[in-house]
Formats: sequence, structure tokens, C-alpha cells
Amino acid sequence: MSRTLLELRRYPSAVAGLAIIGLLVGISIYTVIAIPYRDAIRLWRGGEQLWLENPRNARPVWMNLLPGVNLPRTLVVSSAGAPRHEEPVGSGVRRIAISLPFDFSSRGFPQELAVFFDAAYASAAPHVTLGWRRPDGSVIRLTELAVESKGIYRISSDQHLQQELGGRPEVMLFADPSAPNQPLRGRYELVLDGFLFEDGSRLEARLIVYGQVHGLAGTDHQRRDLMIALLWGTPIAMAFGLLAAVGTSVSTLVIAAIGVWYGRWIDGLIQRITEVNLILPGLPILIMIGTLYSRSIWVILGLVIILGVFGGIKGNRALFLQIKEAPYIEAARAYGAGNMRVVLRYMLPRVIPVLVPSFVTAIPSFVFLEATLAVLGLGDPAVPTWGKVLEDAYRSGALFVGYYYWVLEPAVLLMVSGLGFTMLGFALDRVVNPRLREV
Amino acid sequence: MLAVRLSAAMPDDVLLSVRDLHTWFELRRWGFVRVGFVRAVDGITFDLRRGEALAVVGESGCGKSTLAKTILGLHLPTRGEIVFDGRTVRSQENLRWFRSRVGYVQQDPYGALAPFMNVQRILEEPLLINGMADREARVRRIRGVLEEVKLTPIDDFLPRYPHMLSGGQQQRLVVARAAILEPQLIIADEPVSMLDASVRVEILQLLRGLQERYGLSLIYITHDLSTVRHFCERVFVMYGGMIIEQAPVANLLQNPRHPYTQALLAAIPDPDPENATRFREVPPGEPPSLLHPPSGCRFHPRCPAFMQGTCEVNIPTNFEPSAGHRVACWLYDESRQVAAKAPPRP
Amino acid sequence: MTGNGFFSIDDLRLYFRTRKGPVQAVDGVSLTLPRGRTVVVVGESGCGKSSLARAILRLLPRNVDRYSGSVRLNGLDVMTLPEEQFRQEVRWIRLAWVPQGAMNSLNPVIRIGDQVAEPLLAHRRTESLAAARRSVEEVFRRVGVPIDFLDRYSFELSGGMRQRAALAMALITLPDVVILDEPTSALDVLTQANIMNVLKTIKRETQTSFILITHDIATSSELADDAAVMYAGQLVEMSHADQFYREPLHPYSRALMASVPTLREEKRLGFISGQPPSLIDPPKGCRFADRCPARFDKCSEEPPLFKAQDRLVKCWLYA
Repeated sequence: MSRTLLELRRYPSAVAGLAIIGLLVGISIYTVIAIPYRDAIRLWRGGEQLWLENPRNARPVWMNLLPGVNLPRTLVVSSAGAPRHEEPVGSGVRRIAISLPFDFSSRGFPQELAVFFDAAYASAAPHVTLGWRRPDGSVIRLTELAVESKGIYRISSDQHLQQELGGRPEVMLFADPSAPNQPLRGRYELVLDGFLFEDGSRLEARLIVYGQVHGLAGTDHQRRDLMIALLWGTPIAMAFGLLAAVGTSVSTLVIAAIGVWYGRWIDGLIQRITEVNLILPGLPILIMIGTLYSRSIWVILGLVIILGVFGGIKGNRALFLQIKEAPYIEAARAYGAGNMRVVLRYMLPRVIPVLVPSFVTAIPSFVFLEATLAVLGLGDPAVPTWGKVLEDAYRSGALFVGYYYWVLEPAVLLMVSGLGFTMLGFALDRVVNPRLREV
Repeated sequence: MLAVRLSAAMPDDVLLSVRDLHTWFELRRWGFVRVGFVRAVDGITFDLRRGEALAVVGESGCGKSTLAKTILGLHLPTRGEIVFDGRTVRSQENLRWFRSRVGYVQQDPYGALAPFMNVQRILEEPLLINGMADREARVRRIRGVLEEVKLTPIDDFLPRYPHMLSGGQQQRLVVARAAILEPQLIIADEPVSMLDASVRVEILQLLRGLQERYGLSLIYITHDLSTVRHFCERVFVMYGGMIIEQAPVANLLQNPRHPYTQALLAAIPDPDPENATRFREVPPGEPPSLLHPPSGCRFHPRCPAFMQGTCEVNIPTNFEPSAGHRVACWLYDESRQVAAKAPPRP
Repeated sequence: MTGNGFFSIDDLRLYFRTRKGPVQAVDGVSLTLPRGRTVVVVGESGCGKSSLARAILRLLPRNVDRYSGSVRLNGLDVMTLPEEQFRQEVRWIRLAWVPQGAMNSLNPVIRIGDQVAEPLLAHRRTESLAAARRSVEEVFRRVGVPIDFLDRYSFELSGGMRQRAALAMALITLPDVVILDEPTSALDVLTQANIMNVLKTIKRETQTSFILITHDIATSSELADDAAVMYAGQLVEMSHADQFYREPLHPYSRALMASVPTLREEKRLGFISGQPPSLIDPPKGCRFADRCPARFDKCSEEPPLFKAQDRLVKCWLYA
């Protein structure tokens, strides 16, 4: 084993492969600890409520590193620390004025604008007027409304405002009149001017200027931070690939060994099953089961293993047949070794090193299979995987709308993990099979 | 080197008795159509005394390896029986007991050793399988046997793997493994044919030394008659799955009776520059097919002393033209008045 | 070693590049072979004799570290010829080869007759297919393969017949020198004798020179006019056959001869303990020194080939 590792160091591709795999394993471990599974599921399936403060389909923050790109981030301006002015005007009514200022210096327009209210009252809701002050001094009256306790005023969706302004609010409110395609930079202010009708009434508000970039990976159509899916996709992909590869390899090994050792009709039966299995179309069967029966990832995993077991029998059988005739096996029988001992201690150790390379290269093929099924719509809906992200992107027409990051991120991860394992696998193959070595 | 052991000083008790042994392999086409039998061992009977070194000589395809494997229990005999130390060997019953008393040395030293086991493990396996639980005892036995085969310094060799040993060292390890259970019989199947000339003698002398020191019996299978002289007392010649001549070594070499043996001896060169100046008489034809053997005497199609009407009709029985020297050839049947010309001498 | 020097090699060296360093497989071998004579090259595994065949025929693998020396055929140094010219005019035309295990390397999907005709067709030494067939029949007659075997496949033939076919393939272009690498080691004693008879006949009927490479000293005496012994990549002795087999000079040759069991004479057998040195970093002095019973201090220096009554020995004992 250690000899193999030493040999591997000679192959740069193996070292690179091992580095990639190490990275993936590291990410998996970190993810499982930092974002426990329950939390991840809760976040992923939690619904819009959890993600309200994220912009929809935002690009990753590092896009701003590209030359000429300067997209705004999400700004949250809260009334908690903002200047406010309260003044009683008689009979329990208070006049209230809250100012929510912020600086805007980006070259792109915000994606959305919304105000989140947090009001406490018994029966009479506070009443406010919202005004928009721009850096050039102009003030635009937005609207006038009664605030519910957890009300949300979406400036961007206000049709009336849109008609008045002659364009989308998030653009028009920021547009520079001299250069209409660019936002005016400087200090903006949202002014809340209103009345509180009860002594115990309270009013807090948050202005959210939704940016066009968010997070390390961007967000999807449900405003979810894609990092969750990408991070959690790693351990799931690794686990799926590994379990499927182990399941098929071990089963194939055992079945081939049994067939070769006991011979006769058992071997014949296994051969016939193998031949039937060769003809069976794997992917269509998986699609069928996924559509008609269950899309649970465990069911798919089990099915993948069952379909895959008999695929590798012929190769293993050939190896075992060769080894069975080896002189040292004969010698072992001559000094009294029993059947089980011969199979476990004399045959398997010969075969296993040869099979390790194919095992390693099988792992990414299972990862890709799972992603394929997900893209086709048969992925497990409860679990955040790379394939699921791709599926969402596909259904939202991401490539048509220009959301390349949404497709590229899971795709790159899939490719890199595939590359890592296959590079390691091929190098292992060269180490273990000396005939493939170049002198 | 003494060629003949003073067997008169030993009691004549038989260690191994092989009686009418046949090993036939069924040949099937397409998995189930029976085409015929490959008659690898076709009627062999002999006794082996304790402490005796016996050579079985023949060319490839004569069945000698199959004979060895049948005796070892690696093939099931189709007919006949093997009696070892007074007990008939039957599978399931006493095969384990039998196997712990017979050592096996194979032709290919590298193939005979598991490449993933080091010397220590290779030698430990037979001990573990045969129930030596005490670790101390195992260590002692392993060290002892490594001393015997002169793989020293022992601690240097114990952790090595087979590919780190030379061909000669590997074969010495195989001999050590064969001897480690303190067997009564060692069967060596072409133990030196894959080794260099300068190493062969060493291995053969090693086997001989073990045999003399511990009173082992030895069955030495080879195609190289020239080595037999130096290491064995008795020799069989096999042809077509049968023993066609058996005699003490000196007798066979000085006075070979069977035409095949004579041809064999005539064909073997010694390092002699005169060889380049003369041709050798070689019987025509090929060794017989074991699937469709010739009728009667297996050698008759190639025999210079072929007698029409006799040799192709019946398989010859054993005749004994002189004490201890048996030939399966109709030429020596005194009951028939056979006036055949004497076969050419080498 | 006087003679017309028809075929000779001079200081032939072939080193292979490996991870651990250059393997000096053939390390300065020189010998002379007059026309029509046979030299046997004897040695054990790893002494470089098979590499010698490859060096002479310029059949080199990719990892050659050094290839130098000269190979002279009738005065012409064929080492100086460019690769393509060597291939068209020398290899298999004038220098032919029966490699080790040739009988197992016959093409199983081509009929024997066609395969034996291939060297003629590949080198365009024949005018027509019919003429090629006639040549095949002629060479089959010479090696003792029945004519009706022309249309058979190799798996229908026995080992002895296959080896004869391989021999025919080497002889069909009527070469000047044929190199035989272990031609009989996988064969039965009787078949071996047969093949040797064939070779003796060819030797007698044609002027073909043979270089027989083998580890089997007894068999080598069947054909040898001269004997050369190789050890650790070097030639340590070269003698006429009648001198060599009766009384070898070099201590290695003597030890080797002592380890050959004989059928007909009483003999005390010996063996050589130890192993040949590694060819990667060979010892500086005489390479046989560690195992030599006659070693003395001068042996730490590499001895040259000394002349001892018309024989060559690489040993300080014959200085």
C-alpha cells in the first residue's frame, strides 16, 4: 500500500487528482459540520420566507472583480439606528418621521426595492407616507399606506408608481437624468412620515435595496443562496459515488469469486444473468422507476447498484480464472488450505489491487449518473445536489436569460470532481499494472 | 556422490503404494457434449519405500505432472487407490492428514510463491493451517527450516517478498515450505528446469541432503535424465500415461531395455565436441495424444522394433528380464518365441 | 580465431536506460566468425546473451542509453548504415534470427506457408507468388517439414514442427548468418535431437554461419565449432569447441562445466554459490571475482582478454 503511494508521487496527474479529492473531502467534512443536515434541508426547502432578504437570481459577488463590472450589493438600511423624530400631536397621536439614508455608488441599478415594516399596535395601524430623496435633491412621493404588523411594501412592484415614473421604479428612482443608463451616485434617503395612533404603537422599518450580486455563489430563482446546494452537493455526490462504487465492486467481486470457485451450474447461471444484464438499458430503467415509483435517493442508489453489479462480472471472472490456476494456489491446496482460506487469503489479495483503479474511476461515473437523473427531473426533490441546481437552472431557462453562473458552478464542480478521480484512477492503473508503464 | 543407497541396511517397509491409478479428464465440447477422455495417467502401480529417492522420467505430455498432482490429491483419481503409511487416502476422510505429510516442490519458483506474502508469512501458512497454535513453536520451526536451506542470515530474509529473491533463493524457499511440516515424502515436479545451470545442482543437492538427514522419501519428476544419476536410486520411465520401464538407476543407464528408453538415452547429449560431427538416430513421429492414444503399446507407431500383430493389439504387461528391472515391452516376453532384432544401443 | 573474419563484432555495447540507472547489458563484446562455422554463446540468465542478439540485429527498444561498436559482414560495417538501408539490405536478408520462443510466436491466423514466405515478399526478393511458394517448398524440404503442411495453421502443428517452421522463416532468404536464441529449450529431448539433426544438415549443405545462444551447455556441443562464454555482459572466454568442452580455461567456464550433469561419465558435480552482479552498477574489477575460487589481488582490476594458445580468456590467471 505504502509502496503504491510512493509510486504515485511520480505521476503529476495522480498528485493533482489526490489534491482535488482531498479538497472535495475537506469541503464535505466542513459542510457537514458547519451546516448540519437538518439545517440544510430546512434552509433549502424552507420557502421564500427564509430568503426574503436575498435578491432573486443574483450573480456571485466575485463577478465584481472582473474588469468593468461594478454591480451593486444588497443594502439593508434599518430604522433601528436611523435618525427619527417623534412628536406628540394630541389625543395619543404621535407624529413620526424616520429617515433611512444610504450611499449608492455602484454602476448598476438595484434589482428590487422593498420596505419591510415591523409595527406593534392594538387596533389602529400606523399610517405613513413614503418619500424618496435623491442625491440631486429631488424628492419623489412613493406612496401612502397603513402599516400592518409585518407588512411589506414592494416599491418595485408598485404598478401605480411605475406608471407615474414612466419606467421600473428601481431604475427610475436611481436614474441619472444626464445619463439615463447609469444610476446617480451619492446619498439617497427614504423618508417615512406618518402617524402613530396609540400610545403603545411602535414602528420600525427596513429598506432593502436588492443588489445584483450576492454571496460566493449567487442565488437562484427562489432567492436561495446557491452555496448551500453547492456545498451540500459535495458530500452527497461523494457519498453516492462511493457507496455505489463500493456496493457494485464488492458485490461483483464476491459473486465472481463464488462463480469461479464453485463452477458448474452456478457459474453458468451467473454468466447468463450477466449476459441478460448487458442488454438491459440502465438509464431508461432508472427513468422508469423514477417516474413511476419513487425518486428517493436511496431507492436510486440501490437500483444503480443492482444494475451495476453484473456489469463487471466478466472482467473479474477472467481475473479469478487466471489466478485459480496459479501454482501458488495449487501449493496451498497441497499443504492443506481449505476452500474459504484459499479464496479469502490467496485469491482476493491478488485481485483487489488490480481492481482498485477501476473502482476509483467508477466513482465519478456514478456521480454523473445521479446528476443526469436530476437534470432529467428525477432527482430526489428533498436533497440539495449539484444535479438539482442544474435542473432548476434548466427549468428557469438560465442560459437564455444570461444566468451563466447558475449553470457553470455545478457543472464545474462536477467536472473537477470527475477529473480528480479519473486522474487518480489512471495513475493507479499505471502503477498497479506494470505493463501499462512507459519505460 | 553416492548413486545407490545401501538399502539392504533398511527394513523393507513401504511408505507409499500406488495401485492401478488412472486419472482421466473428461473433455467436453460446448460445455456438455462429451468428446472423450484425456488419459493422463493410465494404469500406474508402484511402491515407494521409506527413505527412497525415486525418479519419474518422461517427456512433456506423458502424464508425469498429472501423476504427481493425483498423488498429492490435487486431482481425483478416476480409478485406483493410493495407500500412504498403511492407510488408504480418501478425500474428506484423511486428505488433511495426508497433505500434512507430503511436501510439494513445483517447477516455477516465482509462481509457487504468493507475491503479496513475505518469507515469514509464506512459511507460516502451512503451520497455521495445520494447527500449530503456539507462536514460539512456529518461529522455531521457521528458523530451523531456513537454516536447512541456507537462506541466511535469517533475519535478513524474513521480511523479504518473493520478487526480492533470486530464482535460486526462491526455489530454496519453496523447498523450505515443502519441508516445514516435517513430511515423510517430498514430491518435486521439475524443481530445477527453470533455474540456471549453476544453481540446479545446489537445489538438487539440498533436496538430497534433506532426504538423507531425515530419512524422507523423494519422488523427483523430470525430463532430464542426466540429473537422475546423481540424486536417485530408482527410476521409472513414463510414456503415454504409463510406466514402460522401471529399474535401479545404474541398471537403467547401463542397460536400457525398452526401445523408447534406448532412444531417449541416445538422444541426450553430454558436453562433448564430437557431438557436432555425427547425427543422432531419433525415432520418427510425435509423442502420443492422450485423448486418442494408439492401440496396444503406446510407442508402437514409432518403435524401431515394432512387431506386427503383437504390439498394436495388446498393451504389454510388465516383464522382468533381470532382478528389479521391469519392462513393459513384448520384446521381453519369453513365452513367445520372438526373434526380433535387438534394438540399437546408444 | 584466425579465419577470413567473415562476420565479426567489435566492442559492441548496448546499454538500456532505466529508472535506477543504465543497464549495461552488452558491455564490449568482440568475436569473429568465419564463413560456414558455428559459434555458441553460452551463459546464464541475465548475462546479456539475448541482448547481444538484439544488438547485432539492431532491434532496439526505446530506452537505449548507448549503442556503439561495429558489426562487420564481409568487410562492411553494417552499424554505419542508416536504419532504412539496414532494414532493406541486412536484417533478415543477410542476418537472420530465430528468437526465443519463436514456435509460440507464429501468427495463428495465417497459414504456415504464407508466413514463411513473408520475408521474401516483404523484402521483394521474389518475382511472383508462385516463385515464393517454390522457395517455401524448398526450405521446408530442407528443414524437414512435409510439403502438405504449407496450407496448415500453426496450431495444427506440434512444437517440433513449429520450431522447424520458424527456422524455415529465417532460412528462406538464404542469409549469411543466422542467430538462434534458445532454439530447443522448450522442446522434448527427442524433438530437440531432431532439430539439432536438421541444423547439422543445413550446416553441412550450405555455407550458413550460425550463432547459437543457449544456456544448455550439453546441447550447445551438438553444433559448436567455436564456443564463447558470456558473464555479466562481457565475453570471458572464446575457444574452439574441442578445446572448450574438454578443458575450459576461465574459472567461470570451469564452474559452469562442473555443474552440468552427465549421463555417460562419472563426475563430481559442483555449483556456483552467490549471484551474478547487477548490470546496473557492475563492479569495477573482474566481474566474477566475488564468486571465483581462484581469486587473488590483481582481480580487483578488470582483466583484458588474454590470448592463451589460440584461445581468448578474460582472466588474470592467463596473463
